[in-house]
Amino acid sequence: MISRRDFLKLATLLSASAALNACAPALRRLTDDLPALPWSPLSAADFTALNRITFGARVEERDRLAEIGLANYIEEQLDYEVINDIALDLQLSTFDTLKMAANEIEAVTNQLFDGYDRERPINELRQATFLRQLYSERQLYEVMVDFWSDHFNIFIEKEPIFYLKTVDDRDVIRKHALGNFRDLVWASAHSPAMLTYLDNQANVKGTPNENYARELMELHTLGVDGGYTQNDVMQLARCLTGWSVKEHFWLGDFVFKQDQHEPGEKNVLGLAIQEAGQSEAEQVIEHLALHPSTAKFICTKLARRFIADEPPQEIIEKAAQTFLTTKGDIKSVLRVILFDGLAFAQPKYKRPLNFVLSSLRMLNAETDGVALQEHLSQMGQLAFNLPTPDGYPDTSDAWQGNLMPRWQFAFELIRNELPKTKHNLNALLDVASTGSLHTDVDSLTSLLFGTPLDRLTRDGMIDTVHTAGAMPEETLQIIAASLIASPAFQWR
Amino acid sequence: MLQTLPMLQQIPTKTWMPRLSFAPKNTAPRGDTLVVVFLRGAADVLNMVVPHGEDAYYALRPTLGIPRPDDGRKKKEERVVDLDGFFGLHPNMSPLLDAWQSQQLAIIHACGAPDESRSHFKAMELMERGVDDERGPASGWIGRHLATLNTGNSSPLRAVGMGTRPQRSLSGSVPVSALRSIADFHLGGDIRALQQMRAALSYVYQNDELGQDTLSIMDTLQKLDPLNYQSPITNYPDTEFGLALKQTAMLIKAEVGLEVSAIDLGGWDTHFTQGSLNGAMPNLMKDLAEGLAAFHADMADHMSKLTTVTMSEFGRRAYENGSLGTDHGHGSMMMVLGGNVDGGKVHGQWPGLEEGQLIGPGDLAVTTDYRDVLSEVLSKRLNNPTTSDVFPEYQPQPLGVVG
Repeated sequence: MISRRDFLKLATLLSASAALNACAPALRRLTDDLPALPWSPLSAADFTALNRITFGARVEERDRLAEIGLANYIEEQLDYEVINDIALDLQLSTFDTLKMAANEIEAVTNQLFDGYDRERPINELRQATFLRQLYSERQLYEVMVDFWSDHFNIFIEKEPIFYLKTVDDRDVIRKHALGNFRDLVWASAHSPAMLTYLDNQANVKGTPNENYARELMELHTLGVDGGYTQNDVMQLARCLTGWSVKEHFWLGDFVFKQDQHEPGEKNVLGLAIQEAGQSEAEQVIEHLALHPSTAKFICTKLARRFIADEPPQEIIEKAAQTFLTTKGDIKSVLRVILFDGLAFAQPKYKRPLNFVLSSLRMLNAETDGVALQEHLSQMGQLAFNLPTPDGYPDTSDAWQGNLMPRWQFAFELIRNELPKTKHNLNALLDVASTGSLHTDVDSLTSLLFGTPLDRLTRDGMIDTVHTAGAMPEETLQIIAASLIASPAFQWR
Repeated sequence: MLQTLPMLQQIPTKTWMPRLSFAPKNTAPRGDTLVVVFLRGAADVLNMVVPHGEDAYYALRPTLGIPRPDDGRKKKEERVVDLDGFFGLHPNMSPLLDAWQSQQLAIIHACGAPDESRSHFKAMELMERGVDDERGPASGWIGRHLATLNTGNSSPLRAVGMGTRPQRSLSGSVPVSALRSIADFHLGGDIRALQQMRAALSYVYQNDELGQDTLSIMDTLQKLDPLNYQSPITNYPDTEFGLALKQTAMLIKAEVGLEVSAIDLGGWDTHFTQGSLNGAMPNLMKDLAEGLAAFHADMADHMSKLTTVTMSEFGRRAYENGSLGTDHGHGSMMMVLGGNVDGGKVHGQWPGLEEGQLIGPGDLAVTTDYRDVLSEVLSKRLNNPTTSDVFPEYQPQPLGVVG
């Protein structure tokens, strides 16, 4: 048995060879991957900050924050490329479709070939996305990938996006998640998955299809009150005629079809656009990407994700200013949001993904990521499964009122009933406690809430469970599940 | 107790999520159960209730138009099913003919909201809040109805949102739970384990209304024995929408206190090859009409105390686009189904589809505000005496759709 740290060392010694791939465990070590030292209570502010930057604070992340301080921790996370993630990379190395071009993925799913499987790219993408969120050391990066996946939401079940979304995820969202917003929106506009999702492959001269043109301005850049009109939508749709997807050779790649492009001059947002084929819409995209309305819209959404449902206007203004002066540099904008904004953090109701991930991460649970998908679906947040282009909502009130699937998950997780998903709560608590039920509960609540529960609440809870007839060995289990199901754990 | 539970309780209820609890303004006996079906994505109502008496309709929709009821060149099942000599139903909407003929289905055409953003998300937000712009109340119109009317009903199932998130229209001071599947609404384990879980959950949720509601709903629903429930009507569509209607019927019959059920049917954003007689949109119409017809038949004995309303955030462009679909438009259509409906009739004023009659880029005008219909349903069928609290910015014009 080797610990995670030893495993990491071992992995770095060897190159990512085929031999290693073969032994990369789909399910990681189950029980021996324990923190080296007990965890200390965190201040409410640090605990909140850590749970905005990560998908739920692991013990190692608490330690690191305590060691270097919040500002250094944020910088370390922003500089994500240098964070070693090789254990995760090894784990994902068997997910072949993640690396493929669209036409290769299509071949995997094409009924003309042996062993075809339409669901494989979807399942691999969902599983990989979940494993990255759970295990990646680059937590802030993964949080941003999730943010942009909502912002540029694509419904994977719309035909034939099941073989296109993987490419969008890799070459648009993940490539630019902490890069430059102009590059991100540019890449998204040229993404076959996006063009297909919003019907732009059907946007042809004569009678244009407005779908993508509208959402590009309403949802991706300016925002609904960003100052565009119905006429701007129609004019941008004309610019975008012919932006399409290859159907034969290099199937699934972007193509501009000149013969479908609407001739003549266009006028979008007061910009006179001379007839210039593909570059007409590209001029508009350049204009939209760095428009003040876009800066404000993107920064409002970021502030809502990281700070509060109703974030302070001053933070939004300052971040928007930085967005404009840095020409859309996402890291610079995030520095303002996090350094200036986290002090104003208000509680946010955990979205289902955050609830599931924070349970698993805080309890040091291991999973192959498959069994969780059905639970996320019941809670209402299966990845890439929202039909509408607005992305899953990010405000607290949208998610309250569906407690039962969260409770079901909490009990199944703690009882180790989820397939290929395991925690070892007792061993974990052994690192920190003396073994009495009371100290175990204190260690557990410190883990889940930052600091232990007050004594009265704790004892009341233990009494309640005893009175309900729980055997001593069941008590901790019932308490742990109820804490995860509790109102407090639904917030971060 | 609140002081003893700072850690577990203060987060949602005490400091950070203040609930506006106030005594409801009005008291009245319970009226009808209201079922609100929201067709998300802006349904193309011109192909649902077709103005076949308009030449302009056929000129604007050369490929998507549904042939006239008397178009001898087409097979009968490919033609509009005439309702009143001017309007008719898409063939896939014909399961609703029974309700129409028994005068329990009313249609309000060219109905909608003033918002002209043509944005799904803005239009839905405003419509579900029942407001003209973002400055209006943040709660939903159904939420305000529940909060302002005391019907002596404290059931946690007073209102439900079918699905995984309660609809925006339900938000407000009365907590409302989402419900996707009655059969799955339980915790696993034997009776002993269940008792322990229940006790622990009740402890951590002791000051949380939504949590207590969830426990209580769990108890209620388990008594219904959902796995053995047999509906006398077996032809509900095998879809999420069919399930939502079937479960609504089950809750009404079980008399668990249901006053409002909110149901979504999504997928109506048909920019691309929506299909005239077959395809994506006709399939949605089939789901809608078969579902409502099955519900209507299942609830035949309850019709005097039941009103169902359908709505959508806006309509679609009167002319088809180049990809056999339709872009975002304006005027929509509502249906009201129930035992006290002035049915078998298309209500409202038809603005026409000729040039000069269309608005904006070529859209059906709105001649009836959706709040006219909802206000009337709330006041006449749900006994709410002050719908001005529900739609504070709006002075409704009675239409006479319900009695």
